Amino acid sequence: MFDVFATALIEIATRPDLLGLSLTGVMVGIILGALPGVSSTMALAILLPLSYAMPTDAAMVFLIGVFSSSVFGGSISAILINIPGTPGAIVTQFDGYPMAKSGRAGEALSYALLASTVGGLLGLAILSIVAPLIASAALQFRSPEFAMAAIFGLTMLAYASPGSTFRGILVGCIGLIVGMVGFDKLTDVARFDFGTRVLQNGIDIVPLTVGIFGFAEVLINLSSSNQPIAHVARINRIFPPLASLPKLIAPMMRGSLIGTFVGAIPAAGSAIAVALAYAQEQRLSKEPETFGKGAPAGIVAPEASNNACVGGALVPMMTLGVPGDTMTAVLMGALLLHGLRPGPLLFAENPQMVGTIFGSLFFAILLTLVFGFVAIAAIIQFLKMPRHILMVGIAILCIFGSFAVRNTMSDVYIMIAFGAVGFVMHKLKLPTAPLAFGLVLGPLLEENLRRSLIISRGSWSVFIDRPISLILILLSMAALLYPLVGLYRKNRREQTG
Amino acid sequence: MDNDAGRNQDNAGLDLGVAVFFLLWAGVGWVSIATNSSLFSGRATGLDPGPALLPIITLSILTAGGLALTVSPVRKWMSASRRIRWKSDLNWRPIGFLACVVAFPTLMHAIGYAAATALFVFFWSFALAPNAMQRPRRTLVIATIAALVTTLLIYVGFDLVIRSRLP
Repeated sequence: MFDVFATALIEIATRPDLLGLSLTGVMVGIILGALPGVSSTMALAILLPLSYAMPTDAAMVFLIGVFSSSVFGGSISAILINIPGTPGAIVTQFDGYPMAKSGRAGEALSYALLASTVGGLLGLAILSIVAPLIASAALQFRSPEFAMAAIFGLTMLAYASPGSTFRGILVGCIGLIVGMVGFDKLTDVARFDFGTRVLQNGIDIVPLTVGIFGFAEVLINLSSSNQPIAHVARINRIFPPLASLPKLIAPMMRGSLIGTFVGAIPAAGSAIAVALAYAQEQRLSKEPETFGKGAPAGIVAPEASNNACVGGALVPMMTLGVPGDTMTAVLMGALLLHGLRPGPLLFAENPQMVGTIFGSLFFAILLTLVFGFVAIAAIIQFLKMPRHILMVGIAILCIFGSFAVRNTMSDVYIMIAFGAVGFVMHKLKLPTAPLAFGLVLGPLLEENLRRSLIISRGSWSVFIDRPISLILILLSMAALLYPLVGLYRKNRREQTG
Repeated sequence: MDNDAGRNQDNAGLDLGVAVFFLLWAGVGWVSIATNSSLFSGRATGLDPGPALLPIITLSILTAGGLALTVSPVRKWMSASRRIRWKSDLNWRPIGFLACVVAFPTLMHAIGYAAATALFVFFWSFALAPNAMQRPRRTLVIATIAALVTTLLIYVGFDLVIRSRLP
């Protein structure tokens, strides 16, 4: 694996087009991540159509640049205006903003940038060691295991979704149905098409993700009251005091390990990782009372954790074909768009692409560090951009982006429809992520479910006869039943108390 | 006590909305399956359980789940003076914006993508601007710049770079 990784690094470093795309992705990612109201997932979703015209390796270099750098971008607004640009930066504001208010904004940003780099590199190192091992073990997977891995991914996402697990499962079912629209690959029978040619072609991942993660967010932003232009804290010197750095190495390392581990759990997400990393540092600190008042460890631990999540979240996506979070679901959509299905076979059949993904992430992390230090003063000017103009621009990008992939207006209408569905779901307090997961995992589930039943001559026991499949079923059931146990205990406490 | 009843009514309205949302999807799905005769025409060969298996399983879960979700709001309705309060915090902006976006492809076909984009961005940049009426000239200038810059970016990004066949 190491030689493939090294070859990819040399390839990216020596090809100006790839290096330029990586830098462009990093620049766009930091700026979009920094803008409040634009999440990393939204940034990836609205830029996904632009990557369609690129060769697969170039598309990956560009999108991973956006993916990785937008995570750091989220901390810029958290530190400077006390509004996290992305959910993963929610904890960074606890200590970043007080530090900025006391005139140390540059110092806080430099801590965040260094921690992002350390976390990102450690996450990548663990990804490049662990992923090939898991992938080679997953080569033993057969159809029953793949079918149950898809169900496990869906239940974990529903479990981790805000609100009720049960509702998350039902949203996932809607995603599965959307994924089944169009011709069935095995029998050529059209499903859920209502006799229309548009639906017979199936619903593409691009208009759906652009709709629910891009256009729906625009509508949600417009439904909230007018946001005044943010007052951005002034930046002084953008470099941390060197004497403070040795003390911060341990928090960065601990945060990175937490981030990689939590990120690798399907659907756990960066918000959980940063909260754990922050709580851990506060617990271990000799001065816990300084947390929340501008403690550097309160910035570096969650920031390292947040960026390490990137590598962690890529583990299940690349090895099992199950996305680790919504961002990797969009990234998986990009691979599918280019005719590549992530999973253990990707390592066996297309190791160059695996190397390109690892190499892209490496360059994205380094370029974020360089671009972050060099251009931070220019980047923060974008925070002064009026929110309503940004939202109108994003809506236009959603329209043209969904049109550009297949040059068909029907994709624009599908994007608008899913934008409206996403908006309604927000009003009903339903999670939207399982919808995209259902669409991505649906074909994997159906193909392997049917193949398993063919192999077993129609016997459903094939799923419990095989140990790994059985373990995945038990884990899925645990994720489904755990909230019910909690609810039962709560009811009993209320009755007795 | 009144507040509790009010909150119950609000929650019941939201919960019922959720249940209706899922049941609507399930209903559309069942109608599609019921009207699709080729789904059961036996085109599945040999031991393949066929293309209807997963749709039926999924729709059954969705239907059962949607029905189960109606239980709680109905119970709340029974205990809260048999009235459900529909709390609505919608404002005109997202609805008007959505309507304009739906009309945008038609406008694009009529006047071309560049003019349609400039018009759309100009109108909404002005309409959504806070204090537009207090400072109309400044808002107009900003909206014009936004319209020109966005149109230029769309032209460069989609027409020149990725060569999309824009109308």
